[in-house]
Amino acid sequence: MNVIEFEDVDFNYDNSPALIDINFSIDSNDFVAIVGPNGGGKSTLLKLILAQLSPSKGTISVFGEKNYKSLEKLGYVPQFTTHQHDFPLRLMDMVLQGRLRSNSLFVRHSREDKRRATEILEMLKIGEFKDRFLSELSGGQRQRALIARALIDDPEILILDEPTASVDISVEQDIYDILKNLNKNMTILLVTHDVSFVSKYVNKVFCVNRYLHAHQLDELTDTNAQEVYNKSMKMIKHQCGL
Amino acid sequence: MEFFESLFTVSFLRNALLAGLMASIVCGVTGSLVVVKRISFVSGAIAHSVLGGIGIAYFLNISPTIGAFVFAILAAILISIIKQKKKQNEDTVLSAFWAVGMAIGIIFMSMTPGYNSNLMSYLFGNILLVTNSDLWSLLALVFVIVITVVIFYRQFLAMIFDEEYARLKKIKVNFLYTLLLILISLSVVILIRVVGIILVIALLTLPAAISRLFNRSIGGMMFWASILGLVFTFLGLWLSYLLNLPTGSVIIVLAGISYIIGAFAVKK
Repeated sequence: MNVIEFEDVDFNYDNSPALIDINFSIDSNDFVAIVGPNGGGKSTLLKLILAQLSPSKGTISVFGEKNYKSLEKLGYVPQFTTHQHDFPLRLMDMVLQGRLRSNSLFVRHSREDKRRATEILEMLKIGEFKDRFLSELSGGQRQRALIARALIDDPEILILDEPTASVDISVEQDIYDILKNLNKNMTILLVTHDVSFVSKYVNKVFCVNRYLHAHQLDELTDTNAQEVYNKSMKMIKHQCGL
Repeated sequence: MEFFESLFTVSFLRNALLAGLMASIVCGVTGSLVVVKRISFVSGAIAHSVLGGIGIAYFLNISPTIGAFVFAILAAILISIIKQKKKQNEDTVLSAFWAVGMAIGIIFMSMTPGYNSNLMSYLFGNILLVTNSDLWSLLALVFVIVITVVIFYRQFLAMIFDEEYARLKKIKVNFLYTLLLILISLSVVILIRVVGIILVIALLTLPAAISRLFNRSIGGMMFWASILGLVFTFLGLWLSYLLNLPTGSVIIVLAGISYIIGAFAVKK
């Protein structure tokens, strides 16, 4: 089943084209990496999916619905670099923000939300840090906290913007293992710079540089032939301008 | 000792202390939000533009507090709208509010027959002039501020921590930002009674900034900023009484020195 579909989508920022003639579809069990040079339109693509921008031309359907604006089944994980690292907030309270709605009033969270948050933190192996403040967490723990905040709302599609931009290689591996595991139940879409590293995990690579080239990786990994694989990687990197 | 006896017997000292107490609560609650959201410059613009309202109120011969109140709310709403439009450089707009508000105030004051010396008390505050009816209106404002923060506590935090994400969760970010600026306006109206327009940002931000050095949670920050605000206003009142100095300025100097000491102490 297609969960996200772009048909002939263009997007212009004040008459300068940012994305041109974008066509792709994402299936419910896909794990997609979006790669491409800075300024190539990766973030614009995410914003279109998240309905923060509207296309200049073409149609976008999410869950078969055109103009999907309720966003309830979309989980979003932004880059932590945009947040204040010493913000006076406990890990648990940050995760619980994922359950907030415009009618959530007063100070306390519901017991059910807290139980669910604890469960997710345990799953991501940061349960023991739930009462710590954000300033006391490492980069990898913060990144997982942001993933937890998205997961607490039970999304069907998880969208991540460079989840491993500020963590070291072993943490990167951990995070991809977590995502691989989550991929059993949900669609995953992530922006990254490192196409070689993620190719072990993902089944599709989208190269975005104003135009979008979709590459299917399933067949590649099946062949197991290193040479074929390397050649394809080279071609993908070349097409993506990386 | 004479000072402490006077606190209970002399009504203007007692009123000053009560006004200081209410100002302290505001320092803690609104001040903490201002500090974590990093909008002390916005607060400064609101505070200074208020002089326009005070000037017009003088000219029309109505209560200056009402003039201040109306201008503070107007400034908050306009600044919020301009921020949402994003067409203008926010920095420039705020500076304009800051200066134009004061200019309007001075023009209207100069046009008022029988030029008065009260200008100084609005610029630098005079906590010793707080009347009983002032106290009741301050109390009402404090009540509104605290209740609003309690009701929207989680939403405010979500908006301040990650505006983009809050927006995705359908939280009314623009509404909350405007509401926060209105709370700042109300706080400014209260604090002006204590330290005046010019010194207001210091009292709004310094206790919260010191409190942040020693507290990791926002609740703790609010509580200890209130306590610090109370200590500063009380000591300021006492010292100014002993040394015959302007109270508002003494309060701010105390807060400033404490912040510097605190910042150095925590760094080590």
